[in-house]
Amino acid sequence: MRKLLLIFTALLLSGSLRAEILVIVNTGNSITTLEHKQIVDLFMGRVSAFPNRQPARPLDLKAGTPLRAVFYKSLTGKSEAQVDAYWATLIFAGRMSPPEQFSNETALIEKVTKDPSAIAYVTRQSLPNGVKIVMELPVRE
Amino acid sequence: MSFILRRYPTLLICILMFSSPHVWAELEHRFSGFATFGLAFNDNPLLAFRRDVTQNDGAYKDNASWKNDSLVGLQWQGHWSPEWEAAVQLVAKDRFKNTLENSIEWAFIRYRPVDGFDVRLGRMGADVFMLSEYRQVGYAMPWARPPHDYYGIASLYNFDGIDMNKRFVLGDAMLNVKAFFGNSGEEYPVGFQTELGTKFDFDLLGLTTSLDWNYWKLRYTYAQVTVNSDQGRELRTALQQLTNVWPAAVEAIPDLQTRNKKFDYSQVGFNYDNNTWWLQSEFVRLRSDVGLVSDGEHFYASAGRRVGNLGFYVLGGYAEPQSEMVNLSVPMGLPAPLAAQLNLIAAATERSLNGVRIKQHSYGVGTRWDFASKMALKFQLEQFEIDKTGTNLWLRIDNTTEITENQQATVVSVTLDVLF
Repeated sequence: MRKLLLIFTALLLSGSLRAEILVIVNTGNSITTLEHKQIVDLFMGRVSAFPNRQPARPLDLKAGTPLRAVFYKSLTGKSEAQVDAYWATLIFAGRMSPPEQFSNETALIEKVTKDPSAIAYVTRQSLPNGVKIVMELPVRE
Repeated sequence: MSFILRRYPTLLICILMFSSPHVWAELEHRFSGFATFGLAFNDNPLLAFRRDVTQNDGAYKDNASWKNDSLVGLQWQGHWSPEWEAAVQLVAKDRFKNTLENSIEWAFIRYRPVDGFDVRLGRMGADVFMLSEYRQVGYAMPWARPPHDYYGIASLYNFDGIDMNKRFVLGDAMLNVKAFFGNSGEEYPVGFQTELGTKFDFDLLGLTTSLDWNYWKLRYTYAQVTVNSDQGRELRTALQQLTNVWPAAVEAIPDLQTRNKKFDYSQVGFNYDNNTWWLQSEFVRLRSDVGLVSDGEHFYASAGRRVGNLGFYVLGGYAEPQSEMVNLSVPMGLPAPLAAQLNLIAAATERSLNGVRIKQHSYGVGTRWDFASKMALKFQLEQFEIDKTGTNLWLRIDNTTEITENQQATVVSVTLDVLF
């Protein structure tokens, strides 16, 4: 709970009137922006490619990481348990592989800088070269 | 085709994987799993509860059972390009016939040349009902187990063959159309805690369409099953030999034939989930030319509400046979020893054909508590009303005694579901 509060505070102090989560891709990706529904489709395993038909690999944080719960709640309105249950239907039906999971945002960002097909979510922050923002997602509590 | 694919899913995967020397170098592995630890309690002293017709054991009065729902599943997925992927899923549980071969739930290669179009080859889930592809993953569903009046008949877990799935985007909605074809088999226990079973081998052909739109999901499936095995031969031979003294016996013979006979499922399902309230219902009409597979209608509906990490739900359903009971009358005035023999054969035929009937309804309540990440605890209370002429989803504790009265059963289930 304390971690969650910290995240919220960090988000609120991030210089924007609305707290936001950044959805990022590799700068080599020709996509410049993505709509809310397109992000939902990618992170909920409904599609496996970007709108430009290039293969997409959504990256995730490990279960229980506070930002993960905030991200999925803001994106889909679902709790983390609902998202895990939903993904279980895809994974164990053999329809999709589970997204690769990382223990922190630094590792996520590093992976995105290296992988042109990656897409990930991070808190608002200054980002290194090699990644770009395709959507700013307002936080829904 | 089905003959070639039959029973060789792992071999198929090995051949494909070792066919390219680069495969292992580029392969990304994912391991995941699921488990359920469940206890079922049932207050009926005559009928043992079972999750579905493939089980030969279960809970009855004063005998709780962990065997109905407990299982562990392990899955490996290998991914070596956006186009190629393979998966193997093993499930350990109390099976009627427990072999490694039977424990392989999935073992397939998937080819996805473009996003939205998949072809799979190997052993995979028979996608006939809404929960078919994840019916053993307790965490993925709100209930302790798939609703009994409906999923109790669903014995088709997997098949060896091919399926193709194409996605169409229709505005905000997404339509998936899947066609599947293959071969499957199952051995059904003939009674409570028995080792004796009836083996069925069948070919499966089907088409599934599902539409996802906002909070709604609609689904329709048609699946046809052709039986390859020859069951009921002994009774047919016995009846055939008696046609000169009992001409009407010949009428029962076609009902006891199975080879090349068909049955089919027409299924509709819907789900609504706005993240607070949810509603799910399915209906299936099973039409059967096979006397040993009962014609019937099966239905359930369930509604629930989520409050924080708690979920509350109600559920209800029914199973109703759609064919008449078989009644064979033995001719009068025959010498006593012959009449006794005829009566025995008539009774055995009636038992075979009427014993597969399912007539029951149920209602219940339950709760789910997501108490930790990827862990859920469930409690479910159900009341079953089982007609004396349709007890086949249950097992008679005493095989020698007929059920002469309609039965009631209160079933309490406690399950712990985990993902890992």
